[in-house]
Amino acid sequence: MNTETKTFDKPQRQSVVGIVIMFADTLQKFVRASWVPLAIMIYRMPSDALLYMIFGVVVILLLIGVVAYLRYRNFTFFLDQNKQEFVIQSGILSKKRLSIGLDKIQQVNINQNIIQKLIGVYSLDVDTAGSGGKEVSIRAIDHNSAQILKSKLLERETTNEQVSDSEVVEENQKPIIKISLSSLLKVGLTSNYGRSLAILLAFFFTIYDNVKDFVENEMLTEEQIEQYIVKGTMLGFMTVFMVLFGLTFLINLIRTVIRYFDLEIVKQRNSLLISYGLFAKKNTLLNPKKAQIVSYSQNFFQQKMNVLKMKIKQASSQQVKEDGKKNESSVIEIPGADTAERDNILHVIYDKIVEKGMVFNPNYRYVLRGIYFGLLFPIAVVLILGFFVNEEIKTYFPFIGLYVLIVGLLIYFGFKNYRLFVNNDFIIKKSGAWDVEHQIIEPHKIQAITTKQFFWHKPSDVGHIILHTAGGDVSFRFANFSEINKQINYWLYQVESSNKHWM
Amino acid sequence: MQDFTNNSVDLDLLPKYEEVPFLPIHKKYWNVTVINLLIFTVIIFIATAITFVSVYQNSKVGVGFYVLILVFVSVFIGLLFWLNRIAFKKRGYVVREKDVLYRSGILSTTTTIIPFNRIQHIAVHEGMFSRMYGLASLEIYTAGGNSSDLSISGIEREKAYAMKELLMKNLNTDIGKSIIKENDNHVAESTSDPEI
Repeated sequence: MNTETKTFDKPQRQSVVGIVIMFADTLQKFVRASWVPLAIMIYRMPSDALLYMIFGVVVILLLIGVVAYLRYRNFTFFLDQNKQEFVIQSGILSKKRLSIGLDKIQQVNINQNIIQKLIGVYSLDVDTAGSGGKEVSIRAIDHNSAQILKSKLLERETTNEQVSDSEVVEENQKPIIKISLSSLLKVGLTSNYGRSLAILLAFFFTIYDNVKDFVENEMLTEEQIEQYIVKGTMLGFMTVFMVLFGLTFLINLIRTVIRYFDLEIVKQRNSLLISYGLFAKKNTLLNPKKAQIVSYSQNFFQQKMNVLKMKIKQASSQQVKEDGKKNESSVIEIPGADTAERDNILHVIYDKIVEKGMVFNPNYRYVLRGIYFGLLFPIAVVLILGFFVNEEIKTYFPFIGLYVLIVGLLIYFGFKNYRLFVNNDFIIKKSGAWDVEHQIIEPHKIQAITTKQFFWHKPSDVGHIILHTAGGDVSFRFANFSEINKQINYWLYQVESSNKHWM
Repeated sequence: MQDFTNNSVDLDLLPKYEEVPFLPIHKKYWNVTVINLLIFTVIIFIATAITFVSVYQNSKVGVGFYVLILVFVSVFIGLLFWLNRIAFKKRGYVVREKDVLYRSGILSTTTTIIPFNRIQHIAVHEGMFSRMYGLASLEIYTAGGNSSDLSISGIEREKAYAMKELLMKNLNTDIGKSIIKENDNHVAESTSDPEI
């Protein structure tokens, strides 16, 4: 195969069609940077200046073309085998030479946007540790070269493992997990209620405002409207509501399917390659060592259909911190896995069977807090408003019963599901009333531990803890404080005595 | 896994973070707090004065009204001093052999523990007023995000730098167990600082 012979030892340009990508990029940049003055110019322009405008557009496009060509000409990249560096030269007027040590490379992603898809090239993005946000991107490269370059860039990690090329190729072809369209549909159908509802509410309020405006303008009396609503349209109202709900639902479903279509996970040496997407194919590389929090969630319907959503939070660019910026973690989502696939993924990531160990229950005060803030306080506010401020609110009082029922159930199940499982290798937090989520962390991934105890919780020995990881915090509230403190001491012992690296 | 077969016993024998005596913030740091509060007080008084004088310029309000406002603001400031005093007293830190602990909070007691081998980087910050009293604050950053970063203010400058040195030595020394051992005495010295 000619692919084997391809090296990147000498400076080389991107694919020739890269000019098109450069053109599109430059145009996009130009428009993004100057759309305000452009819009004003067009708006202010007298109508007889159309010819000038066309001329202007042509000149600008030509200029952009020249810039794109020069950017293409001057962009070269190569792999310096001696220094173990990836070198990129770019720039039209001021030349820039960027060299990245191979050991600094965290991730190499091969992506394709719509324009790239049209002309059949890919972009190769190199994510580095340190130097926050200075990500390198080769904008136009054919698939074959991209794959080879990628494996070369990531070679350093496996030098001591001596995986032969043929093995890699073979592994490449066998995805360990493939999410089918049907499971994707199942997940799409059974999730995102919250988002659907939010979009719907936003939509409703906009309409309501418009109607109100209309009504005020048309000088209808309030009574008329009320009669109108009560008599004729209550049914129509419900229909519209249902239709809208269905619509937002459908949009969410389509979004999920387009985004995660044909999700495949391939085991590649010691990491996982996850690829997905219908129009824009996305590839993400997951190094199990970098996974900080792995979580999966499932609601009642999803449990019945045996689908769940997985989320893997990994640490990226750890040294970004030093620039004073927030440590960004990247999240990989895998919707639509079933329990067997979940266990498979977990096994690949942890190389162990994830088991729940000793269990910590929250104190009953967890329920009290839910009752205070979820029931008593809002109901008190509504009652006070209804009795003292606006009489009309009283008509909605019957709904309070329904509210109490729903929130009460949420609090009850929230409490029932709120658990922390601990064994030697894993910390698993289970939570959620409807969407029940399990968050898994390994003790040696803990960066710091915070405990918090209000003085009125001291006599009853209750306290909160937060486990900080590079992928975010996991907290457990209303725990038995002396029991959890024992556990904290043990976690500290695990972190401080082991040489296991968190990344 | 075979290392730990006797879990429950192990848990009880481990050093207990919750029983470690904490070192208080340096007494002089209260002066720094007071200076900051005084500046704040002056600003509050000026702002209130400007607001009320401009609002009630033309309307006739009695002296009593101004007195009331004055009392109100004074009580607010007094409360602020009181809360700051409590917060000051409750703050404390410890450097153990293998981790740093910091405790703070008024209504709640918040304790943050950062193991040495999880520290990303350390900085010593000398504020303007702190410097007048020879104090500095030690800032400890981890990869765990903003919520787990520590800033311990009110440490003597030399001590802050010494602590920084000590912690720096322990950064990224997964292999260097011996270095940590060498430092043990050092740590013990600084924890049993006769400042209490």
